[in-house]
Amino acid sequence: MNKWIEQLIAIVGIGALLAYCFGIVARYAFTWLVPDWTEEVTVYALLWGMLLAGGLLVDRERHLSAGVMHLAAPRLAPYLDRIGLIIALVFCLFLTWQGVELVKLELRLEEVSRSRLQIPLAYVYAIFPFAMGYMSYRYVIKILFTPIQSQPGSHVEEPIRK
Amino acid sequence: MTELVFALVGFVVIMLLGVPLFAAIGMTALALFYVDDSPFVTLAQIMVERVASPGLIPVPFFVITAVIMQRGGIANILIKAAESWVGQLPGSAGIVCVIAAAFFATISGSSVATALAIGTVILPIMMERGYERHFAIGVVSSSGTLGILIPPSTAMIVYGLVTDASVPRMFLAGFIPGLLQASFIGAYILWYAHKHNYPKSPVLSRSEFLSANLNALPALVIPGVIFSSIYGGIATVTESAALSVVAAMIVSLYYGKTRVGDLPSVFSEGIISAAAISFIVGGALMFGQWVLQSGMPQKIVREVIALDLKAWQFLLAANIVMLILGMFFDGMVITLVVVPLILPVLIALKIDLIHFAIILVINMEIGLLTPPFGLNLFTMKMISHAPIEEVVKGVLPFISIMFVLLMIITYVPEISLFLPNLVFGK
Repeated sequence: MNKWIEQLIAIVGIGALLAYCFGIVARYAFTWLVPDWTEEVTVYALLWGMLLAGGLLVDRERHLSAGVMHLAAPRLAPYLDRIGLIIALVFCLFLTWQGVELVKLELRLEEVSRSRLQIPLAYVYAIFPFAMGYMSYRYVIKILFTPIQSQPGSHVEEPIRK
Repeated sequence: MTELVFALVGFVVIMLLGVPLFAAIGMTALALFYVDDSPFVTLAQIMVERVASPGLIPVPFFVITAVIMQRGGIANILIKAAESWVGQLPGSAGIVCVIAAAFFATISGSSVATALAIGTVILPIMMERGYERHFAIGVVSSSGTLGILIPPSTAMIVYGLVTDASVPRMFLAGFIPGLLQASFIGAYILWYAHKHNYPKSPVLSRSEFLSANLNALPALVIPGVIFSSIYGGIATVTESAALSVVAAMIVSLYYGKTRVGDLPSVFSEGIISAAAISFIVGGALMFGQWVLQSGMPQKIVREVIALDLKAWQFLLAANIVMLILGMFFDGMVITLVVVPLILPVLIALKIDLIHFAIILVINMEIGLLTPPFGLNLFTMKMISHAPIEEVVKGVLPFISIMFVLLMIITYVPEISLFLPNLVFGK
């Protein structure tokens, strides 16, 4: 799943760059074209890419955090980790629910993007609940399947993860 | 005001527990929205509409450029070119580190990327030449911080998003303070190297000199593309960020360290790294939304005016607070949580937002070096395999240098504002 998501992120990233560069070139070389959709496509592609990356960041422990308490009480570190993961899970679940509500709202309003592409925003925003749901899933996996004994001291040396 | 104080205390507590920063800030915002009985659906909207906004597109693009440069062996080429110029100075390897980091900073907007790219090459050379390890670590980690001061800088782009300050002006404002920092560090290296009799680099023949410099020319095309496109009026900051990715790809392919087949993994790595920043920005924007709705900044302005603080006193207090916060929290958190709260105070006290951006960035640089959570400390620990105590010992003199720089930049705003005023007018 992670490999597949990583490839998808690469595709949307390259797509975003191509769209944006096409917009720059077209502005000078093909002035009659005046594409109004390039920035929009870039923004949406990067939105998809960065939201999809959220789950990978959870899996690879690369979401930035600052566990000062881990330094003060290294023995408690695995338990503090668990509490941190649960709080993050609650937040992601909340955002998943909020994302679903937002998509439902956009479907009702039938809003479309501003460029001539007129992309329905509900489709663009659908990535949000999906990505938050995926992050929640990764947090659940971490909470359930990371053995507490294997973690002690991990934060003592490098409390900030990036 | 009471709910904000409770929320900030709660934020600090859950952050200290090790909750990822995006969730810590987001949960704080959530609690504040709940207390105020505001609709929650706006929070999801903020994430999707403002995190990937045209104003933030440069961040992933510049991060992708940094990843390409890091993998493309550009650091090694810049180091050889710098050495051909200053190799005959005592402690030349240290000076080379500062110069190469300054050049790398004109391509990469990240301090950690700069320290990592330059450090992995120069640190073994310095050790080989008999430099004390703690000194070599201090040189690399402090030089690495130039990544966010010398433009392009992701920190400045995020600050621009929060304050609406002009990013091209900020980029220009970072140049002279960046050069000043490089000069201060360089002067200290010269003094230290002279005192400890550190060796010079081997003398290069004319052809070696030419070869080192000609080889570096393609790498120097990248900052050329970035700055000529922005200040030549050809492209916006976002467009120049996209162009820098293309230039970096071409240059890396030319040097042969990166192949076309590597590009997808470079892109995904760049976006994943940028996503780590974007999630925090998202959480902080939720908090910012509450700040805006609550009228809290206006209350803070009233409090500050009641204290009858002068601009210099406020800046001194702000520096002290940012230095303390920087010891514990990432600079991005300070930008996204503290700046929206004090923004109206800055305006009320007529403090130039561009000038404050540079003050903030230097505080962020110091935060990268100060224990217990300076990110560059851990980067250096990883590269050098030295114990953290030795890393801290190495950076301490450089923190003092940075502190002097901070005071100069804070109280001589002309240093930061000279270039932007010259190019864009006041």
